[in-house]
Amino acid sequence: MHGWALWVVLAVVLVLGVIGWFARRPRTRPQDVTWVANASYLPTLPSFRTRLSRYRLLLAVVGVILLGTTVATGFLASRPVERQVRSEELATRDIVLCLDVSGSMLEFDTEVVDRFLELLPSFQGERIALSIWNSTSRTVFPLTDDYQLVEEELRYAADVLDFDVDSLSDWSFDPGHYDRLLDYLTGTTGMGDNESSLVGDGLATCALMFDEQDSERSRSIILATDNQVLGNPVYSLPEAGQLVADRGIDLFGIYAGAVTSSSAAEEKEYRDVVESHDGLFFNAEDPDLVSQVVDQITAQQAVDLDADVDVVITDRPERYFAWLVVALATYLVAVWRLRT
Amino acid sequence: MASTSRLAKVRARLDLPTVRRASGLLEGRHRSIYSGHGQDFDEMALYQIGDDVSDIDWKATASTGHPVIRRFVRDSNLAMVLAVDTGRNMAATAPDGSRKSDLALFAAEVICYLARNRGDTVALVAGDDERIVQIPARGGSSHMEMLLRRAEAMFDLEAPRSDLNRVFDRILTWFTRRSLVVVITDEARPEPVHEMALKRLRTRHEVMVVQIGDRLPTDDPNEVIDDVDTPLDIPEFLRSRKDLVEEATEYALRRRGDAAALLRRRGVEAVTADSEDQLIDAMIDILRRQKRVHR
Repeated sequence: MHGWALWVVLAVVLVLGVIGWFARRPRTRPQDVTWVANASYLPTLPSFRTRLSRYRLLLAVVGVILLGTTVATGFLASRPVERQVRSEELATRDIVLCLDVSGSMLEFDTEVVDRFLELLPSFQGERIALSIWNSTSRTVFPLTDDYQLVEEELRYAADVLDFDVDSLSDWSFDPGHYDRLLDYLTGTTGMGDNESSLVGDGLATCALMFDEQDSERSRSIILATDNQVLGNPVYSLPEAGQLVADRGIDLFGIYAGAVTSSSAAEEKEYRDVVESHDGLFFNAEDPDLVSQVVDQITAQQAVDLDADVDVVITDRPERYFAWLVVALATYLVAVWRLRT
Repeated sequence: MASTSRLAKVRARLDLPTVRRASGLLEGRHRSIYSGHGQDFDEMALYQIGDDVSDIDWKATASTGHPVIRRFVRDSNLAMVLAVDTGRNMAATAPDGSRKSDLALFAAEVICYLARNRGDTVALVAGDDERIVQIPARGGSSHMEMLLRRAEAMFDLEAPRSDLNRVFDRILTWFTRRSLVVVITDEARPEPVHEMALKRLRTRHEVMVVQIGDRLPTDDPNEVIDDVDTPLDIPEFLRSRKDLVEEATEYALRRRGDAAALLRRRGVEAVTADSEDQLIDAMIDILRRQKRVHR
């Protein structure tokens, strides 16, 4: 936290060392010295020499240890902290990933899931749910902050959804993967055979997933669809949008559709619904853009929530204290060895 | 202490019954501890290494089958020269913990005491690297006392280094009459550098050497030791390990052996003393062996 303190400590120790070196008194002869004569051979004896080199080594070790303690002290004086930029507001988010799993959207779904997998480690209290839908909805997992479960599920979803639909036409797909995909999508294509992408129903289901209505939490739905409705939904998209808005839920729409004769109208309807309720609408033409979109969504959430960023500072002196204790202990042992 | 006579102290020491019995010094068993080439025949004795070959009584040798020499009572006063090494090494510690200079002085006292009793003259040449003090040969108590005090005053830790060659050179220059030169130094000397001077000294004088032992630097691990000539600054960590003690002892023994070999080579009687008690016996012994002092 005070990075300069390390250098101050080092400089002070260095300056003191230099002062001490120059101010040291000339070695005074101890009074009780026993004077002997003709003993100048003593330093030439082999055992004396080996011991002297060991002594010098120990001295060097002591010097290094002192340097180490100085550095550790410097680090301690500079107050090592762990800085966490955290917003309490953001931590109260409830996010429902509301993914259209009709064939054309699988690629985009994978991207959304992947991005949330990456964001997961930074979540502190946020709750996530995953709902997939086609003609009907399936809740993969409800709102939860059990991040272990979330991670497992998201990882599995990312794996399963990463299926190239085009490979169905030329039979080049992996049958095992296809089976798992079908398994995963079971329950999303119920009811009539000719219905798909019932956006209104899917969105309404997602809107109903929010629990804890009493508590003050930020609620948002990230909806990814191409809005190609086939069949008769219970809720139309505008009705579902209204339901979402009534419940005070923020809607983030990701549109990802192939260009068809009706795509422009579908996109416009989708955009209008989202924007009429102050939601954010993104047109992700390219699956690679999805991750950016998700980032924009989370950034926007921060702005919307007026999340004044709290910098949580946690003192983390443990490591340096451990260093210091170990170094001092070693120093004491070394000095004790030197003195006996 | 300083006022008491040094010779009186020595006499008190030598008069101890045990010492007297051990040496027979004052019991009249020997008329003189300095036997030599006088007019009066003293005794026949078996030849021993170191005896002058010209003393061999060939007839007696032939009849006994062993080399026999004739001894005569020395009839004139002997001139003695105390050659004292006063380097700072002599102010260091002796093996028994006392100062080496105390032992050296004691040796000088014994010489002076015996010389005074015999009526011999004693001269002093004391010196080191920078100083040299010479006192001409005279007899008498007051002279001896003065001489001993003079020598005593020169022993100091702050004294210059030892240099026996200067002492030897001074004796060679100034003492023409054949004398008994008693060199008082320590166990490390004479060194090979002194050998030439010693050899020349030996051609003109009788020489005997009293070597005062040195305390081993490893004797006591708890004491702070330092060398008078070369600062050692031994850290506590290095003091007196067992292997170090062994090596130091070995080195010191080898050095003593080297000095002894040098002296033997030059035909010089020598004695090494580690304590006062040892010194008395050694001095008596060496003086008895000292037979070949010519006029």
